[in-house]
Amino acid sequence: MAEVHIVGTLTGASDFPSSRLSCRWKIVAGTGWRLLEGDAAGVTQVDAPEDSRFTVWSHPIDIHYGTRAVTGWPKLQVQVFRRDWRGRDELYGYGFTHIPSTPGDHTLAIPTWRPVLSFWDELSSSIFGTAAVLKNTDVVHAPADRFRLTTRSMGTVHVEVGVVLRNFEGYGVAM
Amino acid sequence: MTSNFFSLLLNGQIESAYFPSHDNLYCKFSVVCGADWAVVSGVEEGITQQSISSPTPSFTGQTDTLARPCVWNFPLDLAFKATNVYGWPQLILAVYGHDWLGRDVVRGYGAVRLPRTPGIHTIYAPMFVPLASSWINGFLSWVLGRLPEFRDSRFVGQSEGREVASVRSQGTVKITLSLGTKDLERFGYVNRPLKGK
Repeated sequence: MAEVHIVGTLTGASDFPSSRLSCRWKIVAGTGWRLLEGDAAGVTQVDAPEDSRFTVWSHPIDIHYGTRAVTGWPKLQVQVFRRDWRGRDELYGYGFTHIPSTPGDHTLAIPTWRPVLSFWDELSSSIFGTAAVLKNTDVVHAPADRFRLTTRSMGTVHVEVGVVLRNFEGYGVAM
Repeated sequence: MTSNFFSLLLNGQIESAYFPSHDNLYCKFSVVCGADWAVVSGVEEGITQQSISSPTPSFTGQTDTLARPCVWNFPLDLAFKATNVYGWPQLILAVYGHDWLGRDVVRGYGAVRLPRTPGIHTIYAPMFVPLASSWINGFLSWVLGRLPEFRDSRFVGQSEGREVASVRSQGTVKITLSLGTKDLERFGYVNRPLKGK
């Protein structure tokens, strides 16, 4: 069985309209991938930064996968939440990125979006802090139909990740 | 010849800190790594001198941001051996300063994962302090001059339980290091793109 190590940091976020943010993240991989060690999902701290241009999560990622397939390569899915002045968390962005298959250290930037409804729904959600969310968040990372889904572009999530492969060469696989 | 472990060699320094609102800082550091890892040479934890910032601002790692560095120039010389990439070492940092009564107060926690690739690396680690869990606690800590702290600074190197932490990020610490690996390839690992043969 070939092995993949994903070791890095969910660094933080920038370019969101508000900077008091947290992030719920998970790694999704295809069938044939087995999680051997580590947490494949987590929730970061909430940061209210001094420098509002960059939100710091500094959340460690250390995951060990075993795999019999090269299809279904792992993806990182993120859901960003904004904390309002009442301490409630409101959805602020969805995004995903593939974990690079090339071994080495990589800096990734995930562009995010959030669903929007009609003008009046948007107005009420801005008053009551109830942003529209997806019923099924698989849409974020799966190539499912997004026809008639209207979204607003949000900020960027920053990830720093190292990929270490093991025993791929024995199967004639080059990454 | 096969080796039954691989090694990691780290030479570097905790160079300086950039805290726009704080000065007169020192840093406690410790190294944490997984169960399949061991430090075979060097000190795993230490404490730097207390440093007053330079009058000249310099680049802080954050876009368009200059700040006056508190230089530590503190050496890091470490060697590890391991049998598993899982648990790759992290450097845990805690920066302290003094409040107006001269009491030690924490100015930032941070965690740096060591690079997974050999070479020279410059890392700007963002730092953050925990916020009081309620405004009453915040008021009390302001009156008593006791800022919230993490019970164990290694908390910042862990994934579990982070959702309960509310923090304020402030400042960065600059670390430069060169990293070498031994027997990683012999162990079956690939941590760089393969060159064409």
